[in-house]
Amino acid sequence: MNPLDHQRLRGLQALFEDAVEHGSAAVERVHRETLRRPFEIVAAIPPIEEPARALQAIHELALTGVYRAIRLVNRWLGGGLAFALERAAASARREGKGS
Amino acid sequence: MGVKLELAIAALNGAIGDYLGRTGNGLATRMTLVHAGQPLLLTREALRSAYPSPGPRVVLLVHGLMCTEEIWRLPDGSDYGSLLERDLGWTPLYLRFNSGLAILENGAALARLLEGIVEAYPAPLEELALIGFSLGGLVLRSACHSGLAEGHRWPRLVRRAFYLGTPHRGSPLERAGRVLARLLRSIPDPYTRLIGELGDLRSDGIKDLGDADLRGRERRTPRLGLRDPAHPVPLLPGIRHHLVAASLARDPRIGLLFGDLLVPIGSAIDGADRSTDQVRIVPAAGHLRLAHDPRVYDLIRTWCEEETAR
Repeated sequence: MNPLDHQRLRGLQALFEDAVEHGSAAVERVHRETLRRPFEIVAAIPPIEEPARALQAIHELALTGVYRAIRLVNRWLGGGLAFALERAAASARREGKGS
Repeated sequence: MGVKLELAIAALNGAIGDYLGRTGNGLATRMTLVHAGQPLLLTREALRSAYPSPGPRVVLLVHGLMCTEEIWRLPDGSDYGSLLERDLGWTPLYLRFNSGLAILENGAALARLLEGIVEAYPAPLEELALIGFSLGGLVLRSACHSGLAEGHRWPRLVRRAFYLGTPHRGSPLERAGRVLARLLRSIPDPYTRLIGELGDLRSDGIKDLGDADLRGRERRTPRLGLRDPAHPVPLLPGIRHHLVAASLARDPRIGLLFGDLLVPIGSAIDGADRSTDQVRIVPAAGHLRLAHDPRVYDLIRTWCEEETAR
């Protein structure tokens, strides 16, 4: 692997990681805003306001957990791939010197 | 595969190159000369090796948005640079750069690179001609000002510049995109706002095409025409500026309405008088065609044959 190819592969990996990171944050925001409206309508009915608010809190907690998990896995995968690419580049450099 | 990969990376750079540059991403293209598809180091040895018989006249070709130097290739494999070398003995240099960066940024980088060429060129350099396609023309224009402001030597060598389909007065398509993105963001709906925000991800290079205002941070205050002598970035005097526009239609009257669909004729000729010798409109040609059309080469060659005095 030549240095330019390695640099570009690392760039591609970083770009995918950034895309998932920022993309998931944007989708999470849309998801949250979209869900807020029906919950607000339901919570406007006095007898079920309390359970609706509790349900909304649980739902938002689950939402936060899911999106955080996506970003965490993304970072782990990105870190693993970056490590693998560095190892491959180092090995290619060694082979280049050896030959 | 190599050429296609470079084209894909160039397209990515044009779309989000400012982000790639800001985040230090390895996919960001660095401004460099290229020779036979490979980056060319700016050293005397590298230039001598690439150009064994360098001439005293050099022509630099600057591509447009989301392109590489491949955009110059004519169907027979030649390009304006190689044809000028064959016909008039000019030495062609080809630039590759991240077209998603702000034009001002690319202009400053190009000015430094041109000064490096003057330093490293392996023969006495008498004249430097500049050919810019589309956004590349604005980068040239910005570089001229940057070079002059920095006291570089190369602007004194430039006697002619060619702008092919360069939106000197901006591109209505980008301005429409800007309005659409603003409209989508203003709608109180999370989905349309998200689409508007996605539209706003387009690069600084694309956004700069809207008004072709090369003034940097102080831009749009107040609004000035680029030909206005009060504008900090007018076309430099002392250089013969040649403006080429494309018209999809054969009929010039219809052409005036649509231009080449991307750049209106009025913007490509910078509002200049269409009857002057330095302005030409190429009929029945699309925007991209201007970078590899034998008719455009004939114009460039004729203009290059004219003697210029400084």
